[in-house]
Amino acid sequence: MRKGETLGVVGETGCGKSTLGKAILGILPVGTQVEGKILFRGRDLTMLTNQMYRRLRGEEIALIFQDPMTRLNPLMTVQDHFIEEIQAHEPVSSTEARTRAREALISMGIHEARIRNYPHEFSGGMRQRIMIALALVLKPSLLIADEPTTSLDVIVEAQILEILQDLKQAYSMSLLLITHNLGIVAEVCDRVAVLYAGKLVELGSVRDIFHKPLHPYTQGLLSSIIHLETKELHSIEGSPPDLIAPPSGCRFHPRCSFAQSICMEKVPPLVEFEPGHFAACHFGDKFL
Amino acid sequence: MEWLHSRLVRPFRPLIRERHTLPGILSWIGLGTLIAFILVGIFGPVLVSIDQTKALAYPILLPPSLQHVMGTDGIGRDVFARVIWGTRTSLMIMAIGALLALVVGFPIGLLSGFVGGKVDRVLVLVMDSVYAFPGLLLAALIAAVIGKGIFNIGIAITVIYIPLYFRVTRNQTLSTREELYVEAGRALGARSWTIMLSYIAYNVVIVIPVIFSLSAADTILTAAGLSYLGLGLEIDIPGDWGRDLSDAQRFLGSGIWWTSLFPGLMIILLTVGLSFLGEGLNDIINPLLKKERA
Amino acid sequence: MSAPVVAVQGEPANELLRLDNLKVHFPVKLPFIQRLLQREEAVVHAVDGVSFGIRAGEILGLVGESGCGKSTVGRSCVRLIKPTSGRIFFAGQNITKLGGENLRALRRRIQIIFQDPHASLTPAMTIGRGIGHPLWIHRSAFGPQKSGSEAFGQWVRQRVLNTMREVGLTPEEQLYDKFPGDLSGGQKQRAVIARALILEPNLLVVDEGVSMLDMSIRAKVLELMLDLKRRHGLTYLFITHDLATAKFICDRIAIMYMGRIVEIGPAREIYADPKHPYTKALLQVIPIPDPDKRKEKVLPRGEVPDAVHPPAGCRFHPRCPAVLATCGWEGRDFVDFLDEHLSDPKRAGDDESIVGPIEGWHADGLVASLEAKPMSVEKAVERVETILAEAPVAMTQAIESVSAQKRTVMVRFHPPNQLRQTQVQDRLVECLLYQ
Repeated sequence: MRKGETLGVVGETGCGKSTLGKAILGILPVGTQVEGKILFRGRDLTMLTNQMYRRLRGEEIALIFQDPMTRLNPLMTVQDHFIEEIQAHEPVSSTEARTRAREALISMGIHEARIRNYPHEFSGGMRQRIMIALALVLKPSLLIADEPTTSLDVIVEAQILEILQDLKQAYSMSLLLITHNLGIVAEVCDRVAVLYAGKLVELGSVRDIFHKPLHPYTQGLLSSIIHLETKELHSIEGSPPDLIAPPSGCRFHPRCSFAQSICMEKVPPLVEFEPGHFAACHFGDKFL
Repeated sequence: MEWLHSRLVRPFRPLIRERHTLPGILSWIGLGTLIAFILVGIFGPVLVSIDQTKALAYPILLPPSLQHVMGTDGIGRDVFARVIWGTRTSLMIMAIGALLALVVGFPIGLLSGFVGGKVDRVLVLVMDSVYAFPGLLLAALIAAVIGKGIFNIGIAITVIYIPLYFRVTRNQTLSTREELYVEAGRALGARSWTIMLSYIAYNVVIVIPVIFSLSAADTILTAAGLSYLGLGLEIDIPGDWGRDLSDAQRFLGSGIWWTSLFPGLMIILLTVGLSFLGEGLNDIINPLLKKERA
Repeated sequence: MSAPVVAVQGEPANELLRLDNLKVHFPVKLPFIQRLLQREEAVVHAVDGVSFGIRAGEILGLVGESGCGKSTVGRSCVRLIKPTSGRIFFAGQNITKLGGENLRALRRRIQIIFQDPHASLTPAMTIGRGIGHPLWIHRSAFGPQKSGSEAFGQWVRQRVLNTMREVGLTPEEQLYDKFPGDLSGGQKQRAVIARALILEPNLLVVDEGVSMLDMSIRAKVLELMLDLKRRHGLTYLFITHDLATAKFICDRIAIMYMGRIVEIGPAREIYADPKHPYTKALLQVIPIPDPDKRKEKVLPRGEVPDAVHPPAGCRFHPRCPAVLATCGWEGRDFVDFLDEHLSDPKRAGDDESIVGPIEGWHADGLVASLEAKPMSVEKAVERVETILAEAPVAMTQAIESVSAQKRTVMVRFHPPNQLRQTQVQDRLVECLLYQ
């Protein structure tokens, strides 16, 4: 992932997209087995100690969740949230923290007088804005947004996405947008990663993915979107597999209409079929 | 087949799945203890002659020996035989008390939670005032009025635990009533009666084992307490842990420990086992309830 | 005892369902102290005067954002919610106050499917038993010939298996004894559909029936619904927040905002040329799955206001990009505007010391007022007028007067124009732009 870009991570329920976000931040449940590396500015995050991770979180990488209410403490005012977040990372006075909190809120279009209000006194969209302001108050270089708009109404969703876009530019920050909504991806992302059953099946620029998808799952997913131009319904046969005992070989083969015997036996590697466009399919070149 | 499966095997599924966790282990230990006691209660009296439990059957206050593994007590009864027969007595009181409380408390709680409104408020008030009364005192009062005997003690204890069953059932009903499938049932045209029995009761029943085992442990203690106070069973009952303990008390000072240790140990073992079962089930079932609601 | 049959005059004969000025107000539960202090009872205006009809065999889409009252309308149609006022007709019969056995009989003809298939299924019933349960509930309606419990049970089982096959819940024999927890989301929704279908209803209310399903299976379930409609001549009330899905499946569309229908008409025309500004806004925010077609959007401001005190006039006016002076401007719109103005230090300057603080302002109906401080009232009036120069033109035009009365600054608005549904081409729109 590059500096200043928006990478969309898409996939269906249980494909592991939220787990990915949590893994980057090192907040997976204790006892989870993690293999492989997460490189952030050349450092492997999986090697970090808890202490180092705590510094990293917020300052370098921030996360916003689907439901803001689960992250905001109902017993703390908005101001307290900000002061706590700022002082956990920087040795500043409460007064200065308060000033910065006020600035952050104003930049989100929330009246500064409401800084002493409690989370429940805000509407859903405002809460999500507070979450974003809170995530950005330390000016991280990477923001991970896990389904940031799913629980919001469509118009508010569009408002929030607009804010995220503007902020990304203002802070020259990278954005990792985790979502199941391909329409949003098409509208805001530069590059897209498609996950299926815990595996990355395709990665490429948003144009590559939407105009010439190489993996049959990406193709199925794209054609199943119901949008205003939809004339005919398409869907993918079957349902996502059980991750306790995933299918052999390519995990998509039981639902794939192009599946051959090799798909059952061999796990397809992620291959760069054209510059910057990767796919994990034995027959990816067929769709070029 | 489906019926048998859903009634007999399915309820144990969480217990089997959780067998390696702490609540699971606790539950299995508790269940094992309970089953062991039930076996003793059923087969013990068959193997141990009732004559050994009668006064002046043996010399008094013999220390434990091969012949009398737990010794004999102040009036020449075999302590081991008394303990075995006492198991049956305790289990019977427990069964009568807990079952009666269940039979009365569960339906009232279900109705109260389902109907709501004034009926609910009055019932809650009545039950709460019963609950607020000190349990042993209330049982002692009732026992004094209706007299001795296993069944009467069972009834006296029932009165204490009805409010417990009522409360838990009612609260569970209240939350189940708000479930979408209950609304779906209404949309299907089900009568209130059908909704209560087919859609709500099934999902409320799963909290019963928890209260049952927790209150059963208490029942044993209360029954023992009543007997200890001399308000419990008839004098000629072949085994009564509480009374035996009470009788043994005056010998404790003279270094005669066996007449009090063994009945006391039984009370402790059974109540601890039941508490393990209750607490374990509570830990297993409560997350299940939450998960279903989420 | 049978309910009186009332024919609705002037409506097409083939109309299966008609709502006539339906209102549903929910009481707001207040803490005891507040209840004592507040004289009038607070209510949520969930549905506030909704009228529409559904013709037999059509799919009417009821579209709106969460909290607009669309689910309440759906639940009222199946009589799960008691309307506060208004009438509901089903096949010409007034069902608004139906009760007892008549209501039970009605339930065989109108069924509802909820958004969450998992929560709709009783966890303690097997799939087969759950699907067949409606038949047991209504067993007396299925004739005395099946009176023997054994025979009836057999008949139910057979019918359940047939219905399961029809909705694609296969292999049906194996799934029959499974519990809901063992099924996937798509399968559960099929089971819910089967359970609704087994009574052979005429009208199916689908309340966000596919919203919780994954994209790759959503289309399958939609196809199933269309297929069932063709085969059984079903009529649907399709409630959704997803305009794209509604466009695909619905014949006609009704757009709801804050308890009112703002636009209703043939789907094709509404999508081709939306009239109401809210419809336009909704259509605009649907993401287009094509990165080459990104475009700037003009979004309505803010969020849906509190339904306890809905805005005067047109409820969309505080957010509307095409708002007129007559749309319903009132005191609190001014307070909101002032609040926004004062919170921007660049624009506000020393305004706050003269017309502030914002907490001093009170809105009551058409009037916003400030109990003046020791400061001069005239100066405050003057400053309010200066600030208003920056306000939206429509709002400025709507102001009748800014005046000083004794020690109170008052901003008074003109009363709004009466809003009513207007025929525009072949649809009804509730917007002053077209009146």
